[in-house]
Amino acid sequence: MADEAILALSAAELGAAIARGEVTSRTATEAAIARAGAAQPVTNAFVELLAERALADADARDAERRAGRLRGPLHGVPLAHKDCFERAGARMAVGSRVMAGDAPGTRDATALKRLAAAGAVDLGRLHLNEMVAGPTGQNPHLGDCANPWDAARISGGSSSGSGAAVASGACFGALGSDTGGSIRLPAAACGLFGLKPTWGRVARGGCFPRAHTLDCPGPMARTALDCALMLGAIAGPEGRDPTAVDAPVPDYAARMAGAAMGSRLAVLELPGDIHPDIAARFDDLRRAAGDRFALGEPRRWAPLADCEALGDVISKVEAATLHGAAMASRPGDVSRAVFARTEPGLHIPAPRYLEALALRARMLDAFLDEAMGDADALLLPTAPVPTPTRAEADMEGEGRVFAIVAQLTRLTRPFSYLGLPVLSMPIGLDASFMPVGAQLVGRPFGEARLLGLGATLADALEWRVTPGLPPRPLRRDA
Amino acid sequence: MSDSLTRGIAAAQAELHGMESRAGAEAVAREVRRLNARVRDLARPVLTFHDQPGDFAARLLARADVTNG
Repeated sequence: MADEAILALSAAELGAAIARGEVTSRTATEAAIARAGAAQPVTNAFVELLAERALADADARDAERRAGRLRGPLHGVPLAHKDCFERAGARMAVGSRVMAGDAPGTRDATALKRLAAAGAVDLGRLHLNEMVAGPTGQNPHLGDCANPWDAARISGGSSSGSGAAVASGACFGALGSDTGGSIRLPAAACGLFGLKPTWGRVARGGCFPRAHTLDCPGPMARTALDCALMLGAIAGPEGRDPTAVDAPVPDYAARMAGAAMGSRLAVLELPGDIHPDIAARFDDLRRAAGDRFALGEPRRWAPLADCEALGDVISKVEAATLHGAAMASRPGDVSRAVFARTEPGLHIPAPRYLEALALRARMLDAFLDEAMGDADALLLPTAPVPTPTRAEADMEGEGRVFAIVAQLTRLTRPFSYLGLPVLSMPIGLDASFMPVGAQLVGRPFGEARLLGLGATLADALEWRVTPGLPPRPLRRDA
Repeated sequence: MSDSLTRGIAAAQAELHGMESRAGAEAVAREVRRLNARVRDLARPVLTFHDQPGDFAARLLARADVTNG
């Protein structure tokens, strides 16, 4: 199989081809490394390509297959991950100057260890916003991560490299982390599926925090099924993260179609403007949802804006706790954007932080009872505006950071506070031929249902993309 | 630096946290005032001594989607 054909496969398709002996993991890994090298001058998606160890891992997976041992559907599949996951023998700088000189790690993050146990190959460290903070994929220390669909536009962030690498074909899936939209926004901007799991669904051991109480590691991939395979590998509690929730971990890939069947959906309407291009594609999704599922009356829930503020207090206070020492001792090594966004967290009264935490269970109950009601999932856009250009989104300009973050994350942040699973899925292209994303918000631990809904709705919208620079969609809506 | 909160934040930033502001004390004060009021006004009417942060994870499990069982 030619390299181009290999790179056009989904992770699930590649895993199946490797299992059948039609492609070796080495061939696929070499093809991905070549694509990563070719794309790097355009996207800047990789912080470090760990080619030698990836090829050694690929050879080991091929030897296992020849010996009749297959670890699962991701056996031999090359992935790459946001540089906020610890790796034994490799650095983790989290996009910062503060941590750039740290010694290489001594152990793997829980999620990476689990993906390796599932047979996946790790291609290396991917670009991100400094300290996992920011929705744009712009980093003054690393340079911008550009969008493979149009390099003049942002990739979205903070899991910027994950979005750009998967969309360009440099890997078949990637882990990101989401505290207020950091998986969902780059997934939407890059035309991918990105799943923010239920808080506690994925153990966070070895994942550098933005805010312990909100962070959710999760998969980004070109299909919902690929996200299901990755989630199935990484979900579940583990000793390094005592906050990971001990809920059953189903076989997501096997369960997703059945879980979606008969689902009741509704549109969640929020105050504030939605750009006409986004609204047009969202109408397409609404029609597709109505054709295939029971679509109830639109829902409104005014306290959602409160959830944004409650989550903001938690995020700012926890970030100030994490970064206060560096801000005091090495202020010149912290960007203006991160410094400015973190400063309020130093001054928010402790009772407000604890009140935000104590209210969380009540707000969750209220959302499920009053907004979701009898619905199994709610639909809304991922971002209210088309993907901005890199110049439009630059957060380092004086006085710009709060407005830019607020605009891009307005529709994503409330669900981080509520801890709910949210799948961002591609729903078409805007007038500039840039991808548009929509969020499917589920009940706690409803990931299988969301992934099944995403797969069905993507089929209905005829969303299928060949990765590249730029990616080539099967259908051009705009 | 026109009000007492702004002056207090400027002082606290230096004396309590040991750093100079880069966002500017006025901008920080605006953000702190906004978030403080929002959360305080939400919490005070409803929170009781029964509410605690640890309730949340238990509530996630209790309200789980039936398809995860």
